[in-house]
Amino acid sequence: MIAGGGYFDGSHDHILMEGSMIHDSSQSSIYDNTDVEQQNFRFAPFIIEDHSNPANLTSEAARVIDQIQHQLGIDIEQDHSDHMMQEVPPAETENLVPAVYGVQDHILSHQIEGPHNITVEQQVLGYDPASYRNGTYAAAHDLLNSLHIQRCSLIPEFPSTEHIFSDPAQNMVNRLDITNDLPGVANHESGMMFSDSTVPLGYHATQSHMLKDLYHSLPQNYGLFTSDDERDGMVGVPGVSGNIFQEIDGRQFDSPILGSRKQKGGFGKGKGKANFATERERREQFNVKYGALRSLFPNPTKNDRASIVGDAIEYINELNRTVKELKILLEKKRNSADRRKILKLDEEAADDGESSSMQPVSDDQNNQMNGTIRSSWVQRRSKECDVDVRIVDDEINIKFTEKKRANSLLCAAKVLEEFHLELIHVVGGIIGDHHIFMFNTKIPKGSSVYACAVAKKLLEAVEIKKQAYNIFN
Amino acid sequence: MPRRRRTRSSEELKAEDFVDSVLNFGGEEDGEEEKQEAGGDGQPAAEFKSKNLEAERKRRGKLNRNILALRAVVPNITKMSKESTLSDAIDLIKRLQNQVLELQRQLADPPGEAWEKQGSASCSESFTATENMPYQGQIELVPLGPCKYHLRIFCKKAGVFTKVLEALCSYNAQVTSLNTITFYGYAESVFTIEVKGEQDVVMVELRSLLSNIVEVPSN
Repeated sequence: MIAGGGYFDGSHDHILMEGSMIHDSSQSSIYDNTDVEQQNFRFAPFIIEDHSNPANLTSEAARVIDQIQHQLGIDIEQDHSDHMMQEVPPAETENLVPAVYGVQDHILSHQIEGPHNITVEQQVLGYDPASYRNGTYAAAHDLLNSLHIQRCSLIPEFPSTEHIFSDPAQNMVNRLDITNDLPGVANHESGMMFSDSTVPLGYHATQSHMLKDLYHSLPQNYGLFTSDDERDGMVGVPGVSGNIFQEIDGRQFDSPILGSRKQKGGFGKGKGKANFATERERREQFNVKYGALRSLFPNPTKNDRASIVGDAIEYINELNRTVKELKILLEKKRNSADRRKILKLDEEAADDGESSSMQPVSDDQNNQMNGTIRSSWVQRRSKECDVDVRIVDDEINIKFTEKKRANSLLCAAKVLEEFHLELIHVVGGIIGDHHIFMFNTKIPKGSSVYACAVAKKLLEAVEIKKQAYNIFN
Repeated sequence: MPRRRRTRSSEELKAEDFVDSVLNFGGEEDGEEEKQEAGGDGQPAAEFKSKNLEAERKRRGKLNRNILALRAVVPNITKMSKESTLSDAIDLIKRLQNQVLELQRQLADPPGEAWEKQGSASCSESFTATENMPYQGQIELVPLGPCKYHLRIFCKKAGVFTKVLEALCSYNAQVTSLNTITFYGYAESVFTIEVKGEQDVVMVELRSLLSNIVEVPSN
């Protein structure tokens, strides 16, 4: 905001100085007026860009920084299309160059060829306090020249037929006129001190000039993107109106400096907008996916992304174990018909009084049919309860830890009774604030108990008891 | 002259903002160097910024390592991007959950067979145990302190453990420690319990109830 205000104050003073020059220009010859008018067209694109820079500099820089921060977060393993996004910031940087460096620096940056990253490095390396001061002063010169030309546009236009005969010699003459503008700066400085009181009047004139410059600059913006061959063809066409010829001459001078800058700026802006929209969608998509992943877990731990991914890994491993366990149980179930026959034979043998000799044989057959030994484990956790269930073949080991509460042992015993598990060994007691029990139980033949079900049932029983306890209180 | 000076100062402010952004684009080190050059005030700001940058770098490193581990667990990876890894993990978890439900349904299909077999095994086992040796339940209930008691029970295995626990709970006896061992269809349990409230009457009634459960023969 401060920069913008200062800029407009400067423009007001320059407009008043140009007013005082009207008398001088009227006394000049027709040839001089033609040269001055032609300079106006030559610098028009620069004027437009200077007007836009102060207002947009802050927001533009912030947007560029935001894009770079997003891109730093991108994983190196992204596709090639993502690498294109990384080339955007240097292009944006190019767009901000005019505010600091002079025309000479522009020529140097234009001469550098290759990726934009090299251009940025070149400028960073070349930066030092001495050139910084000079750059600022050069920028002031550019502003003064553009404002001077802006005022001259009020001079009435002469017949444009003379421009038809423009040739390289005349271009050389116009190029020399650029250097002649520099001595005029001293005169302008003296004019500023005497004309301060009439600043408000100049403000309206500035607005009208800006609109007129916008109108004139549009065709040149289009022309800047055409190829050199096409421009030469247009010059050679007979009968074309004078305005087109004037624009052609303007392009010819602007292309080395202004044309390349304009193209780079346009490219960067377009990519920046697309990148911003895409990046926002990408972040929303990530949040949705993390939320969906977290909702699948039985008991999630934390809400940050690293924990969600860690829990996903553990839960996938647990599901794989459960699937394997259930498949083994299913295989056993399919063999149960054969096993039942063997048991019947065993009972008949017992009735005959030969049970001692038949028992080992049936055991061996059962083991062969089972094949692989079953093994799995599950851990579950809630606020007040930890359950660890491990199964090896036909035995289950259960560790049950719960905050100190009445009747926890009875609760666990009832759950085990539901699954028809035979108690082999039970040990436990109170340690600190917790009840800790360990059960070694045996799975009866033909039962379809599996680790996940036991753990889930125990947690549910504890939860139900807790609710009943709360109601009682 | 004063007006010229003001104009130049505003342009310098604009230029400084631009220079800061350019240097920051160049890299983090360049930014820190500039902060140090600014003077004494810049130095603590640089350290603070560096600390935050380090913490953020650790957080990103942890997340990336976890995503790599997740990619290793998921069998089929369509693309190597983060989004594809998360999508594949979600699909895999859903598929595994459906598989678990399907297998559970298949296991639960003919429930009669399992329970029938259970009964069969239990009957034969009980019969064998009874035939081998005569059964006689035992109970010892000895006071250990003001409110503590030592309880030893010898009983059959089937279903008695839960009944004993229910009896203890009905008299507000809290199990302080427990050890149970079973063999050949019989079980021996050693409890340490705490009782609150009326002691003598409660203990007599508890002993009677436990005797009934364990089938202690009356003298």
